[in-house]
Amino acid sequence: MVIGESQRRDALAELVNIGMGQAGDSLARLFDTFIQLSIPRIELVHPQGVSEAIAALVGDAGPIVAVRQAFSSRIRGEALAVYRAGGCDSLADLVTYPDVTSDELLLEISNVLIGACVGGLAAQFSLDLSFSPPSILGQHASIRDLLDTECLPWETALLAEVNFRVEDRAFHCHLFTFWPDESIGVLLAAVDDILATL
Amino acid sequence: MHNGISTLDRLNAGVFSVDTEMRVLHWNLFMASNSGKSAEEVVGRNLFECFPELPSQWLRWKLRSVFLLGTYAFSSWKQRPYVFKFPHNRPLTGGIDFMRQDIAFLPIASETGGIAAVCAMLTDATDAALSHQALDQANLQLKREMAERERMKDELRMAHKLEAVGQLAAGLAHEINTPIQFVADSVSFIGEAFAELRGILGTYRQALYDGTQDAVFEDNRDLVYLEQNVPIAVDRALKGLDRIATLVRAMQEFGQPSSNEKLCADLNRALTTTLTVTGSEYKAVADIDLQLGDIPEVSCHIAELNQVFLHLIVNAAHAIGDAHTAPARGTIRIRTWSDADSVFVSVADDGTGIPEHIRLRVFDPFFTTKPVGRGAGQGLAIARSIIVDRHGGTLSFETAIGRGSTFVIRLPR
Repeated sequence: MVIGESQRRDALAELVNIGMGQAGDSLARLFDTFIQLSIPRIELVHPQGVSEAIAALVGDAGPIVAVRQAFSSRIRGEALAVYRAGGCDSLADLVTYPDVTSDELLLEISNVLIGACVGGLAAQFSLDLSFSPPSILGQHASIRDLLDTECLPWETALLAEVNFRVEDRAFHCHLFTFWPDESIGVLLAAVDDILATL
Repeated sequence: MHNGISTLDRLNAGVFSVDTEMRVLHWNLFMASNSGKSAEEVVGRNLFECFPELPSQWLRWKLRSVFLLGTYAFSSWKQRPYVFKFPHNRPLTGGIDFMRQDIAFLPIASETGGIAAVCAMLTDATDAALSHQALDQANLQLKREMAERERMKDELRMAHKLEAVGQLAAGLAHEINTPIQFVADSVSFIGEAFAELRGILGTYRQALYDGTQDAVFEDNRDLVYLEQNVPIAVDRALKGLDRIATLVRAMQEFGQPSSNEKLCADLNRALTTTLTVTGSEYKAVADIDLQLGDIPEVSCHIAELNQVFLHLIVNAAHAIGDAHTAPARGTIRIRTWSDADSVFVSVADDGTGIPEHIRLRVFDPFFTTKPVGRGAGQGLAIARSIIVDRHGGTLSFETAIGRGSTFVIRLPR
């Protein structure tokens, strides 16, 4: 794959940007509050460097909480929502049902964020994704302990990162979407199809 | 459709769907048989009116998020054991109140592109939940047993420490008795000297009164003797007291209670202290060659390390005692040094060495080659447990028959 081709890269970034932007709108309506989204960042990563890449994008966050969720269709991938310690506790009142536990809230918010963003992104490529249930990958963990980089079953992955903040709240989430190996080709073919129609 | 039964009805999972008004659009056989309400009773009616016991706010939030975002939502029995109060699948064996449920909520797109309905798929997770529960209980039991094992290890370490202190007590009594003896002799001499001085003082007073002081001053050898020897006696008494104080201080440091938390400690000082309290064990057979390097303080359980040093020094003394016949003496060479990651302590002797056939067993609990009364064979086992398990270090040795053994402790900085 030649990600360096500027036209392809720009198109991919723009599509990711649009997808994430639409996701942000949906989230704002769901939570009835203003959601701040960063400009998505895209890069290719290898297993040996994936922890460093995540750490570089998250910055010095101290202990973190992370949730993973898989998605699939013609392409398969996995998303990772990374929070600072405390996870989603500051959003408890936005989830309008009682007796919500910290873990349930974490999984619920992660599912919503991942579903909206990855779904928004997939829509740009006309992909109809299905999702697996989310699960907690690490709590009070360090970024470098999240993934066992010796055992990752892929060689190259396309990583898209966007981070969320919620107005007036101590909430910060980095959302990573990984599209490994052959999924990159499918994704770029979809980009080419879109470019061809322009 | 086969014999009037659809594929959805054949699924061993609940499937139902609702529209944006929460009206039930589909209700499969699994849902009907477990809820006791047939599709005819439910379809077309509001879900929450049909089942008022449902967690309404929670379920509405889930459904709303799917309608709004057009994406999946999930519920796991781990966070929310059940949504519908369905009977469990264990009418005979029991063990649980209601069926544990995992639910996936899927968006159903309308022809115009929006979300027309949400389909929910409910799977019975009771068996997984019970397995999980059994696993949790097993884990809890394991944790309890591990805690109990740790407690017993602590007690064993403490018992062994008390045994070591008991073993040292006789030697220490001797060590303290010797300076007490010469303190007593010196103080006794000073007492006699003072009586003599009082006599001389009386003589001088009388001589001053008689006017014969010149003769008395010129010829008083006793006074010269006292002038020379009283300071020596005072010095000896002070040295004796200092020796006793050193021994008591060392014993206090050596016997300090173990702390659960690691604290920074000076290993050179700990070795010096241990050498002081073990003096009676090695003085008769060995000299000490102490080469203490410039090492950093180590975060450790120092009371436990004192025990390790004690065992290595006493073992070295025993090995030398077995190898040399008096008046020949051996040497216990103690070194400390460090590198970027670790601090090292070595205790070497020029004693008998460890025979090859027992080298693999020296760290085994209760293994000993010593006669009854010279140790229960726990020393090196506990030493290794303290170094390896409690400090993440290593305890290794090199040995040669007839040339001696060297034990090396490595502790992380």
